[in-house]
Formats: sequence, C-alpha cells, structure tokens
Amino acid sequence: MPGKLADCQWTEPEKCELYIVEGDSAGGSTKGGRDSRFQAVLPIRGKILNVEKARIDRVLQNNEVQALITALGTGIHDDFDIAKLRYHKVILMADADVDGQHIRTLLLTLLFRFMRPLIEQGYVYFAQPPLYKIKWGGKEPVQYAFSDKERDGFIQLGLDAGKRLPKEDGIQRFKGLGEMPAKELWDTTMDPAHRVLMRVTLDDAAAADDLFSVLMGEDVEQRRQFIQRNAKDVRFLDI
Amino acid sequence: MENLENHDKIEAVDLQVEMARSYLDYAMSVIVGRALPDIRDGLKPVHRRVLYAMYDAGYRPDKGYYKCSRIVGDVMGNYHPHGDGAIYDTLVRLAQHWSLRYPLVDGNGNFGSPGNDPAAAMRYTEARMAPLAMEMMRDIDEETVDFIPNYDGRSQEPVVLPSRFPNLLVNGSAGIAVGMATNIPPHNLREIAAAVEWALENPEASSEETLTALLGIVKGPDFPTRGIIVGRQGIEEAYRTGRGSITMRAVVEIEEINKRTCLVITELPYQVNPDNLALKIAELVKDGKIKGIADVRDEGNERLGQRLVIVLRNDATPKIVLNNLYKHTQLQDSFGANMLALVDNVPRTLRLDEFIRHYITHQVEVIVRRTKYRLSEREKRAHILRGYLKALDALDAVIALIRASANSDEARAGLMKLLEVDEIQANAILDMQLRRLAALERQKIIDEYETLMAEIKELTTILNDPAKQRLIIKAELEEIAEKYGDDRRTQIVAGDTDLSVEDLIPDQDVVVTITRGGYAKRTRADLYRSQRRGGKGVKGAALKQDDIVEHFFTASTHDWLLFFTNQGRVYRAKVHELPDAGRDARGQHVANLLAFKPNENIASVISIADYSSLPHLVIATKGGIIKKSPLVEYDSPRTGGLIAITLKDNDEVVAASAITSQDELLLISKKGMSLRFTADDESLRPMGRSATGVIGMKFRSGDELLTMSTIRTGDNTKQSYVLTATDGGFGKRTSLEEYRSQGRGGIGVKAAKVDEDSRGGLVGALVVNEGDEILVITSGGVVMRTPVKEVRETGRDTMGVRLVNLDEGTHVVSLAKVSEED
Repeated sequence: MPGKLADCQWTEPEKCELYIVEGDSAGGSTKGGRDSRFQAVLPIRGKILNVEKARIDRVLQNNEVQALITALGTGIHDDFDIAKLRYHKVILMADADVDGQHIRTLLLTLLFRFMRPLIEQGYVYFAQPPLYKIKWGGKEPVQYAFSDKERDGFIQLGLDAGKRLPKEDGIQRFKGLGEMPAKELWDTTMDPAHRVLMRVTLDDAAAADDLFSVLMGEDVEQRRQFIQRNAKDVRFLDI
Repeated sequence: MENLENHDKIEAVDLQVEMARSYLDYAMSVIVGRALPDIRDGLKPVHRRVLYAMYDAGYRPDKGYYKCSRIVGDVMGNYHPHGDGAIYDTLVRLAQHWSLRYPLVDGNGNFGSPGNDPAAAMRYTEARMAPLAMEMMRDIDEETVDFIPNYDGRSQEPVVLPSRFPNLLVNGSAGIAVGMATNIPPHNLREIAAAVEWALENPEASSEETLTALLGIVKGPDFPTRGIIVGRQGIEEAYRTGRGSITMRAVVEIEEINKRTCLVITELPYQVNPDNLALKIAELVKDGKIKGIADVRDEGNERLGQRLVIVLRNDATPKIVLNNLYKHTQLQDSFGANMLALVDNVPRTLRLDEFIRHYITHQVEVIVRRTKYRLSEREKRAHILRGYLKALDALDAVIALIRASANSDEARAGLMKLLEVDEIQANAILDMQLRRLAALERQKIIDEYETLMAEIKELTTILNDPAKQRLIIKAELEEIAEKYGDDRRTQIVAGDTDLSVEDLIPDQDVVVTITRGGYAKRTRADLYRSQRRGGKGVKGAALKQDDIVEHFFTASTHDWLLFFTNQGRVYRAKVHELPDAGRDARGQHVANLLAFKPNENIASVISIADYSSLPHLVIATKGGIIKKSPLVEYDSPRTGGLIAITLKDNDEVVAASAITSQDELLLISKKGMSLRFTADDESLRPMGRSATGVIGMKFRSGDELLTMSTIRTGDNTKQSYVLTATDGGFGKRTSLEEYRSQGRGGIGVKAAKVDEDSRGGLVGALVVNEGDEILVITSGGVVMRTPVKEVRETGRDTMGVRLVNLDEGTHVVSLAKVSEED
C-alpha cells in the first residue's frame, strides 16, 4: 500500500471507506478524527495532475495518481475489476474553497477517465464539511451551516430566540479542513451518525464525456466560451 | 455490531452538474479574484492586499525597514488567507527593479537577480513601501474608495486603491487565468501621464481621435530592463486592438577584448533570464547550431549590471553570428501583448484609449468622493463653530445656565433651548475649554469659520464642475510625474524583424557539385584547395554506382543557381539551399529542392550573383537552336519552374550561359564541327523568355549540338584552347585563335577529326586556359584529373592522343573544367 495511505482495520470492502483529502494539513485532522476501524485516509498533495491533458505515461508515473490507483485496488481502463475495490465508499473531502473545488474536478476527471465504473456504480461520494461555524454567546451550543443561506437562517432564528452573537469572531468561515480540530471534523463531517454524504450519479455518460473535454481538455477557446455562457450561474466567488 | 449504513444521510448529485458548478466557481474566482488586474489600479487582489497591509501597519517610506516575514504574516493574517510562499513571491517581485518599471516596494537585502538566483528567505530580507506606492494610497483615508469586510470579518479592506498614477499601464501586468490570460507591458510614467492629461483636456474627443492622439504620445512599452523594440507595428496593433506581438532585442556591442572580437550584451529584452540565455547559447554552440562562437562568459552582476560576453572565433563574421543569435535565442524575443483587465469584474480586452478613459473615470470618482468627504468634514466643523459663536454672543447667559444646571444632561437641554442649537453643537459648547473664552479666541473662531466657508464654497464648485475636477486630476498627476518620472529606457527602432536567410548565412565561396544522377551539394572551397595541394586523385564524392559528377564550379552561398532542364524549363535555388557537405559526401538529390516534372533532368546549371549581373541569357539546343533573352525575365519565385525556351519536338536543351552582347559563343557538334560567333544584338536578336529561338548552327545529317562555350570579351584568347575529347578516350587541344569568328547559322569549320570507329565520337569540348585542369569522367566512375598543359596541342582537324586508359567495356562520358582560380 502507498506510504501515505492510513488504512483502516477492517478488510470487508463493503464496510470500508476511503477519504481522499487535500494536502497534509487536512490529512492530519482527518487521520486524527476518523474511526480507524473502517475509515482509511489518503492525503493528496496539491493539485493533482489533469489527466485530460497529460500523456498516459506521465499520468502513470505521477506519484499521487499511483497512490490513488494502488489504494483503490481495482486497476484502470481494461484491467479494471470492480471486485477488487477495497472500499465501497470513496469519499472526496476537499477544502470548502475554490481550490478545493478545483481539486475535486481534477479527481473526478481521473476517476471518470480511468475508473469510470466506480462512478457508474455509485461508489464515489463527496463529504460535506460545514462552511460556517456560528459561535453563540453564553452557553448556547455552536451551530454549523453548510451554505450562506443556512447560515443566515440560523442567525435569524437564533437572534429571534434571544441568543446573542458576539461581535468579535461570532462566525467562523472555514477556509480549509486543517482549520478544524480532529474532533470537530469527526462530529460535523465524518461521523456516519451525523454526516451528510453526496453520492455522485451519472445520468448521461456521453454528455459528461463532452463536458470533461470542454472543461479539462486542450481547447482553451471552448473553455472560455463555456465560462462566458455560464458566468452568471456562479455560486460563490472566493477572492 | 452497529449498522453504519443506517445512519448515513445520503443525497445524490449528478456528475455533470457538480463538475460544471465546481469548475465554474473555480474559473470565475481565478478570473475575477486572482489572476487578472483591475483596470483602475492595475492590481490583482494579492498585490492590493500586500500594499494595503504595509500601509495599514505603517511600513511606510518614512519609517525603517521591517522584516518581510512580518509583512507576509500581516498580509496573510489580515487579508489574504493563502500560502505564505505566494505572498512573499509577490512582495519580492514588487521590489525587483528589473521586474517592475517603477517598483512599489523598497526592499533591503537579497531580492534575487534577473537570472536564476532567488531572493533570500523572508526571515532575512526587509522591506517597506516605496515612496511611489504612497501615491497608490493617497487620499484613501478620505472615503475615496469602497471598503469591504476582510475574510474573517474582523477588519476592512479596500476593493480598489485610489491609484493616483496610472499604475496598470505604467507597471504592466501578467497573469494566466482560466480560459484567458493577460499580458500588459510596462510603460514610461511621463508618457502615460501625458496621455492621461491629453484625454483630460479633450473629454469630448471621439475614441478614434483619442486613440490617434495617444498613439502619438505613447511611443510604446518601456521596459525596466531597457533593451530595444524593433518596429512599431506590433505596438500599434496592441494599442488599437488590445493584442499585438512586440519584438524586443538585446543591446549588443562589438568590442575587441584581448585581440578577439566579442559580442557584449549589455541590455536584455524584458523578462529574459540571462543565466538561461547563456546556457542556451552554450548549448547551441555545442550542438553546432550556431557557428563562430569560441566562448560565452557572464560578466554581469547586480552592481555593474548586465554584461554577457560572447567571444567570437577568428573566422566568424560578427553580424552573421549576431543574426543567428537573434534568430535562435531570446536575444530577440517577442512580448505578446494581450491587454486584458477587469472592468467592473468583467474581463475585457481593451484599446489604449479605453485604458486611459477607464482610469480617468476612476480618478474622477476618487476626486468627487474626496471632495464630498472634505465638504462634509468642513460642514461638520462649521456647524460646531456656529454653535460656538452663538455661545460667545450670549456668554454670560451660557455660563449662568451651566452653573445653574444640576448635571450635564440638564445643561445640554438648557443650552439647546437658550441658543437654539442642536445636540452636537450643545455638546461641543460643553466640551469647550475655558481659555477659549478669552477675547482674542473669539476672533480666531470667526477667522476659522470664514476660512471654512470659503473652502466649502470652493469644494461645492468643484463638485458641480467636471472641468474643475479634471483640472485637479491633471495637476496632481503632473506633480507625481514630475517627481517620479524618468527618461525612457527602451529605445524603439524602425526595422525589419524578419531576418532573411541571407542574414544568417555568411557569404562565402563554395564548390558546387551536381552529379548526372541529380545529387547536389556545396562544399567549402578551402576544403578543396587544401586537398588539391595534398595530392590528386583522392576520391571526390561518394557516388552511387554509375553516377558521375557532371557540374563542378565555384559560387558564393548567396548566388542563385539556375537549373535548365532537358525539357526547356528553368528552376532556381540559392546556393546555400544545397546541403553543406564534405568532399566525400554525396549530397542530396535536387528533387528535394526543385519540383521537377516527370522525365526532367538537368541539362545545364549556371550560377549568377543576381539577375542584373549580366544582361542576357543564351540557351542552345541539341538541334542547334539558340535563343538570347534578357536575364531579368528569368527572375521569378515560381517553384514550378519557368519556361526557359519553347522546344521543337524531340529537341533538348544542351547548354545555357549568362552573357553580355560582346561575348562570343562557340558551338561544337558531336561530329566535330564548330561555329564561333559574336552574341551581339545584330547577329543574335534578343527575344522573349518563352520564344523558340533561331538557328544557331546547321548540321549535316545525323549530327547534333554537343556543347556551347562562352568566350568572354577580355579573355586572353592567345592562351585559350578548345579542348575536345572522344568517348574512346582520345583528346587534344587547339588554340582558340584557330577558330575564326563566323556568321550565325552556318555549318562551321572542323574542330576535330572524328572517326567513330577508331577513336569514338566527341563527348565533350571545353574552352580552357593553359593553367586549368580537366576532369575526364568515365562510365566506370573513374575521374581522371589532368592539367591542360599535358594534353597535346595540335591543329583543329586532328584526332588527338590518348587522354585516359579505359578499362574494357568503359568509355568516357564527360569532361569538366577545374579553373585555375578556383
């Protein structure tokens, strides 16, 4: 197994989960917070190679790609064998910032191009770390919000209920998973009793194929047009 | 065991939806928030945050230096929650005088070099704002720009800086976003300030008028590393369309150092790394791609500046080496201008006039907001002063009221009622110091009030008068340009940037060899000379079996070669286009060079320096036809060849020659007849290029033209001979004087006695000098070299002696001349 992988104790794939996290900063929190019986952690350093643009030999020489392929156990392309999958939940846990989103697109490209059945058969998930932590004054318990809307709703409800929000440092915006202590990460994002996972589904493989080539491929002009067409749909800008 | 699956809350998300969303968020964040500059202050967020953090923390020009690690910590902690490495790199670049035309950070310590040396770690280096950076901040405290909460909501950061000088054009910007990129060159502050001033003075001018005027004011980019810009076209395109390729060149001086000629590079194109350049040159020299360089030494340093010395070999032509360096290295480089910037957070490619107009719009906003702020500050003060004046007018009543009040609230309420003032004024009166009650203080308050009222009037006029606002912007910018402006560093020269091949190849003498089979090459003439002294008969070209050298002459690499084919077409190539090969190499087939038609082969090859070097071209055919046409008519770049002569059926071109009208021609037939005549216009009328020609020589039946030789005017005919050889290996020479000049179109006189049974038919005839040597080439591939002197001199009508001993079954196929002077 690759050196970076912090594997889990159980060996039954259907019970096991692999968290793929961004960088060693997040890797530490994740390892510290996980339930090591069934949760394995693989930290990926920096921005993983864009396999849509790189030549296959370069892709396979890449350390991060190698680590991921080895950890999953299925092999790639024609050698892919779903029976060898070592974890039945492959959970991408990226930082809640735009670079995290970029890494998520890069990882999805790798999975889609090299191990498509993983996505087709519903083994790929996103973890949902909270975006905001609302620290009410007094002894009120903290609340976690997963979107701007949810945050505003919580604040309104809380204030209406007579809670007090400290002026200084009342709301924390999580920039990276490394900002959370291990326990907080477990409570909010990794504990199966509380977490919310997003399962990636594939409705239209051909359309997805096209989208990957536009977004990740060589043709800059196509990409620019896509961005211009959809610029108004941007959810949040991180400056 | 617990069933974990039951706890999980799982929602579904479609791959496409997620990809599109995540990618879009990333792409737009990079475009708007990371990689592209704002049109107003020319800064990307990280730059703005570095500068504002330094301003906010007081790391200003009038203070000492502060550790860079401290600055980076301030930037990261307060405004920019990203990697410290990226922030430090930004800070370092802002301080590098070779990166920014006008550095915004004043660094102390090792901030790297234009080469591969990085800056020292941030714990060593120190920095503070450069004085010019204060002009980016000027007026920022007077509500001139919007502020937004920082990332954790604990403080505020500006969305744009007042930027009281046009930083975007002055310092330029470069960035790669997603799906788009920007590359704006730096400019001279004085020129850009002048452009802004022109636009301020001419607010009504159309964009075309503005652009035209600005093109006259802004000469072009002005790089911190100096250098040269070649040609104005790229500059103009960049300013007119937002995109253009600007050619930059290094400044190179030619110096004599230790008796060696050296190219000394003292200024490089912008963003060229001198270390990598030196490596690249060394590599090209090693691979033999650039010739003539003996050594490359980097003698430059931070104190003395750029100095890269290229030592030339003794036989190198400096200009040619330099041209090759321009061609193959970053000694000549292009700046791909892509004038993209964010306008209201939308990336737009803009013209020069739009850059200036957007900047002016920003400045007007800054001035209006500043004026409003100042107005409101003054009005606040005036309001208080009015309260004071009312209080002083009723001083005794005020004092009595305050003394009678139980507490300050009661006193305030009393004052408001007594003096008809509002709460703010009442508070101010209560806060007034007792010494202000002195008689003279009253006058001071009146004076201050009057001054304020005058200022308020002035500020109000400014607010209502755009022309006044523009005047203020102009005056303040002039002041900055006066203080910080400097002379242009990059020279702009007119010029052709396209180096033709001739600029890259030295003009030198070479020997051109073309075989009957069509293999051609050029070989440096000195290689042949040294060989000739070494000994005769060394093998020439490594030929294919049965192939023989048919054309062998010297020419310059810049000469044209005209290839006349048997079918009457002519093709051309430069001598340097032939492969440069050694003596014993075969060369390359001309089919690689020329687009011959099927069954076409070379009948004759001539070299000319250019098409005006001689007036005429004559062509002779097997059937005895001869045609003279102006040489210039053959000057055409057509790769498919040109018709050189229209041939009758079954006729073929035998020879071609460039001549003057005073030259004479000597035609010799296979059966040994010869005809000598003058090529003047009277006997040989010039015709068009594709004409058929006239009869040059008549033949008895079964005879045909073998060769045509040219006798140049001024040739010493006494020492000239006509040398003939037969396929049986016999030859002789006869003085040229024995061939008298006749009229064109006759059957001529005997040049040799031909007896095909005993000695063979004629295969060659040459006009030679006594000092020349000839090559006799046999069908067995043997090349025999013989001095002309050793061939017996006889009369015209003789058969000659044995020239070469032939092996059984072989015969002589051709003759070639090696001239004395070659």
